[in-house]
Amino acid sequence: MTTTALTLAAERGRRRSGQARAEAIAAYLLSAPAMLCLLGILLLPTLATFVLSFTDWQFGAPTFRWIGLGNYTQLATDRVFWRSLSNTVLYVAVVVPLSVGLGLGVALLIEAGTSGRAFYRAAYFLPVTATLIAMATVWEIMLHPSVGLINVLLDGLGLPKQNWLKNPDLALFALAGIGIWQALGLNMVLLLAGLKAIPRDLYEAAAIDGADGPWTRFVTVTLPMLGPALSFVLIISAIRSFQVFDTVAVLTEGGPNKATEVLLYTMYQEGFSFFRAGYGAAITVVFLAFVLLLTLIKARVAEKRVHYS
Amino acid sequence: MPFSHSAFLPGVSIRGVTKSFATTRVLADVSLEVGAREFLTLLGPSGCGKSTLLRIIAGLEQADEGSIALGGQVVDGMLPRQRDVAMVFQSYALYPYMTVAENIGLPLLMRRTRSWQRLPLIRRLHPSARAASRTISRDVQRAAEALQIETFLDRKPAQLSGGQRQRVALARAMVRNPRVFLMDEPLSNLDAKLRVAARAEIADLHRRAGVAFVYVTHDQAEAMTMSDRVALMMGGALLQVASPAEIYDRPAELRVAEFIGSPKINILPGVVRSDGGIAVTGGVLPVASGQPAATELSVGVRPEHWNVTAGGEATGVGGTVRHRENLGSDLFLHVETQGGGQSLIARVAPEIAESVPPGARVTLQLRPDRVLLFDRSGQRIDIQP
Repeated sequence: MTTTALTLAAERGRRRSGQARAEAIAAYLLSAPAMLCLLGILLLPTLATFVLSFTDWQFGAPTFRWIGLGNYTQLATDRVFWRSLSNTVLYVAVVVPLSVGLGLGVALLIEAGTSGRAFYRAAYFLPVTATLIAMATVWEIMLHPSVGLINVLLDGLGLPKQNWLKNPDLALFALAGIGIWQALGLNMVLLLAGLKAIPRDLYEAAAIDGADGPWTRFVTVTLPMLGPALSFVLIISAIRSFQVFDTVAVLTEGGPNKATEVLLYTMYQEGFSFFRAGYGAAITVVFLAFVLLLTLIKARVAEKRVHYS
Repeated sequence: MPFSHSAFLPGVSIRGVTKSFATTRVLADVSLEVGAREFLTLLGPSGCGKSTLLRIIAGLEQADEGSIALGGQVVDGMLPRQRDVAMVFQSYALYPYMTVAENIGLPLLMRRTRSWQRLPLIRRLHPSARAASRTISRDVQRAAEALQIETFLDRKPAQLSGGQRQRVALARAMVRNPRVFLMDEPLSNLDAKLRVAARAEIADLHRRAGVAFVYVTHDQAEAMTMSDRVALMMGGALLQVASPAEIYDRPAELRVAEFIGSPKINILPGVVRSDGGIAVTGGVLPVASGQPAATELSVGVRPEHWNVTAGGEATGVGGTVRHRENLGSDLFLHVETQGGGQSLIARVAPEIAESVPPGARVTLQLRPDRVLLFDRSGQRIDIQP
């Protein structure tokens, strides 16, 4: 090869890399508005919370000090925080299986039904559309120890009345009941969509192949085909019930005796009632860690093992 | 006989089946006998009721009236699984979360094990469940080898091509030796090349299985190439049930003649002349119809039954070449009849392409014995010898 040819080849290469760089710059410029929004709305606040959790900043104070892991070491010995964390986990452990299980049951019943489907769908979805704060007030009346409908019913059945929201052994479960009532509708709608997406001829093939009993058909076709929808619903329910706050704030304020203290409520109190913004931020970081963990589980297990195509 | 020695053995007996969905009548009093080793194709345009009839045989739909018997046994009211039929679906209906081996083995698993034996741990540990799963995997292996998919047994359907999925569906159908095979347009999702190969394979599968096949398609090429007999359906009724050759050469009525054959048969409106010939637009056909003079009828001529000569002739239909389609093996001429403006199609040898360019005057003549005559109600008239 002659020198000229080499020079020409090098020149061509340079021109090509120059063109690639121009394309890259254009790409960054075009995506800049979206990237800035993403940064400003989602990433920076998260980062700020993270930074804040290493300070002793008080809400509204002009100065702050870096205290390193001080907030976290304090959390480790804070009995209210541990109570709050265990309450939250218990709440999630009750609400997720029941709201998903019942949601699936209702979805199967509606799908199998022949009449009134639209009515049942709307009725079960109602709690999702209603504001939980307003609904919480209704539940407060329902759960009222003397005139509440639930105790009246219990009494009518000859069962002892309960002081639902004031009994430390029952309060969290009463809130979990409301949580299930609220989450069930959304789970039902998502699972109903999942059920509708199952091709009819799979059921027909199963009927010919001999998998035609209700249970066999459910485990042979419905459940595996519902895998993607079900895993999505499970994770969404877990994340949403981890965020339980409204009912606690309106009905129990964490009581009685911290029996319904949950993570977001503790964070809210530390940050906005006691103005300990740094400490509140540390709780938020713990909360975010859990949500991140759930999201990772979804990304890893759910999407790899449950999708088929 | 169109089908072999056991023609007298009943395979599928359909008696007076009627079916409506809401107010739409899909099947009107359909009766049909399929021999125990026969390959019968239900052929017809979409919406003619052929798939519904197949699903009634399978037990996926219930007939409003009438009765189905399989191998001489009345199966009305039986569940699909009790009927001992296998079905191949247009979509293949493979279970996407199961491997190929599990897909093929499911019909055996459901028949040879009880539900407690299929529970996750017991399935692996209990001796009876393990024995069953050994025989199942042996049979799955055999079916897979018959269809040359034994190397894909561990894959999921999503990892297979369309042709491979179709074989898996066939393997799942044949694995437990059913007494009837039902196929609902199993080739329509394959590309044209694969479809031709698959036709030969299904015909071969039928020969080896030696049981009744009921095959639903709207594709006449599939019907003509694989079947012992073709049952042509339209509007929920059977128009004709006959061997492919018979249904092509001696269609019972005009609608059958028009549905079977590609390109479509030429239909010329004609009037019987007093000298016995038939006057059509563009000329006179020397056909003795045996009908009284002035009778109006329809003359059907298949494209390959024209004899095309360049220029004008005394008898036959004169016209002008408008368009040529050269398929290599065949050349189709689109001819506009003289004065009538009717378009006729004629098949000629590709070698004469040069002599009949577009715009050329030609005469279409025919062999009188190959012409099909239909009366005004569409019934075929036998031609007097």
